[in-house]
Amino acid sequence: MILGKKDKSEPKKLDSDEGVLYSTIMEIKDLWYNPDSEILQRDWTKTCFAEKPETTAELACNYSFIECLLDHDERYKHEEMTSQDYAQYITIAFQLDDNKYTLKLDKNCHEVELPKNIYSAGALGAENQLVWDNYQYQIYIDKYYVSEHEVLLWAKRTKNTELVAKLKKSTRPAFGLSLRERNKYCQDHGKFLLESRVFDAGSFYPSNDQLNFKSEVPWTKSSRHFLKSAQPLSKSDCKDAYVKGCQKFFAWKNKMDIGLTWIGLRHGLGSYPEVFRNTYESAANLKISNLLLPQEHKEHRLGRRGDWREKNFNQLGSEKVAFRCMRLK
Amino acid sequence: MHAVKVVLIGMLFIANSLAQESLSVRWQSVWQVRTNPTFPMEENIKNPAGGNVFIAELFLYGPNFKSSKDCLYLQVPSGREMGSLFYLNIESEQDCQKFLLSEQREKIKKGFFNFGFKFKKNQFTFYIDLAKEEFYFPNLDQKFEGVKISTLESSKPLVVKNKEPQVCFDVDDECEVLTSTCDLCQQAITPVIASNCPQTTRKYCGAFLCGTSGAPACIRGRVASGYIGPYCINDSPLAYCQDELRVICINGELVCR
Repeated sequence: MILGKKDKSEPKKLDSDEGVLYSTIMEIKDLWYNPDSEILQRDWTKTCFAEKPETTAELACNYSFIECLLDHDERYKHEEMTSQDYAQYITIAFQLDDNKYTLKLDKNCHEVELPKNIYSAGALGAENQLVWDNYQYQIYIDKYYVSEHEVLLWAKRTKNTELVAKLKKSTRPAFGLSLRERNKYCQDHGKFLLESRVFDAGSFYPSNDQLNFKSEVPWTKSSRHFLKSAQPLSKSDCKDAYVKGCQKFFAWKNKMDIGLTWIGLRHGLGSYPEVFRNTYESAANLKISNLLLPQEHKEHRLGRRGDWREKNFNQLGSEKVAFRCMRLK
Repeated sequence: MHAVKVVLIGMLFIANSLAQESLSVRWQSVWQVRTNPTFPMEENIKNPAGGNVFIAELFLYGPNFKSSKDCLYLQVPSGREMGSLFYLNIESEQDCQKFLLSEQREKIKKGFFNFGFKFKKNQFTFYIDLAKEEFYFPNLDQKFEGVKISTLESSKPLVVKNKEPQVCFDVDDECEVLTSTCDLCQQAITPVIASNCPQTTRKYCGAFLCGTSGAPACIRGRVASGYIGPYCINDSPLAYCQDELRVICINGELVCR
């Protein structure tokens, strides 16, 4: 006997209070992953941030924004939603009728996946180059530098009062951390400090023969580019790499689309010095290219590295060293 | 006699509806379903008549999103006794078959003559006599991708403890998956070469800094190295270590010493 063939009714959806529950979950999902720009116009947003966010990218996967929304927006206050912040995700709890619901949302809005391929690490012509592939596992890389605000939330969670006192709810990069703290920050978020070889893989313009040809800059394979030229800088140059002189066009921001690489990493060249973990040449752990170095400076090249031991950075411009994390799966 | 039977059936119906109502909320936490392949879906289960069988396991996000599972059991209807449906909540790693006759099982339904079930996409259906009861699992609905839903004890705060790294994914030389629980890992995931499988590797739930002493060797990869020989050799070209350390194969894993 084959059962249930008589009943052709539609499948039952979220059953008890289907319409409200469904729309509540979808609304929270959108607020967390894809907040609408309209929300930036609401007055209460000003009370939540040290600097008013200018893009919705700053609000996506942003616990302070959600916390603020639930505390200040009449609609959510009324529904008595509560939130909790964890290292890799947040939870939002609410009640509908007599049923309690908890939603778990991942903090993964600001990552890009490194495509599976063979890569070569190190600048073209460098003595120590490493050929490797990631066919056996996935790598997700933070698009932006870890911000002061993100470190502040972490410091609060881990009850690091000394660090809490030093930090602001700002999207600017977190500079003042030791290497140990940076490693710990990433690991507490289920990640690792970004590896130098992985940054190279995500920033060298793809080429079939990376052993013999590597791009000098992230946005073109050509060796003719503004970082080699004496031509005056343009606004569009500064979007490719934010270097000395770009301040006159626009102010630098962490969560801005500048220094874009082929996989969508920001700050591929220019911006701030960035520290990595280098697994094949441990002393070459710093991208020196930064916004205080003039456009023709030799450090504005992909794959070039310096040695950063927290305090002995050799004064080549900015001493503010940023970092970001990567996740393996 | 007839009146008593009607009252009893009425009471049963109320009890069953209540059980179904609370289960429909409880099972909104389901994130994975495994059915027992012994019983084809949408078929009336007749054998073993009068015996107890395990029909499916439903993995749920429990309190604080720790996973557990509900085992579904059927007492198959027979000429002598009507059928009953039970569930029991156990740890994800435990075996439902071992609790087949547990006294802790909770009754979902009783008093039926025919039983079948179906699981498709995000919907689980019981066919009980001429009725059909459906349960919807939003965690398996693509519309809610990125959101995990738990309806169980939602208010307790989560305490994350740092545990020793444990293998959360493993494959053999033929790439057959032996373990796969990394989705529940709250820590960093570290891959380590521990088989000849070219597609994937063993993975630990826990942060190891690859290339350092005692940690897994950093993966260079089969394609990049061009190496096709057995993986488990000292100085394997499939991986590398920092500084002066060597790649060593210990306990079937490539590590640095």
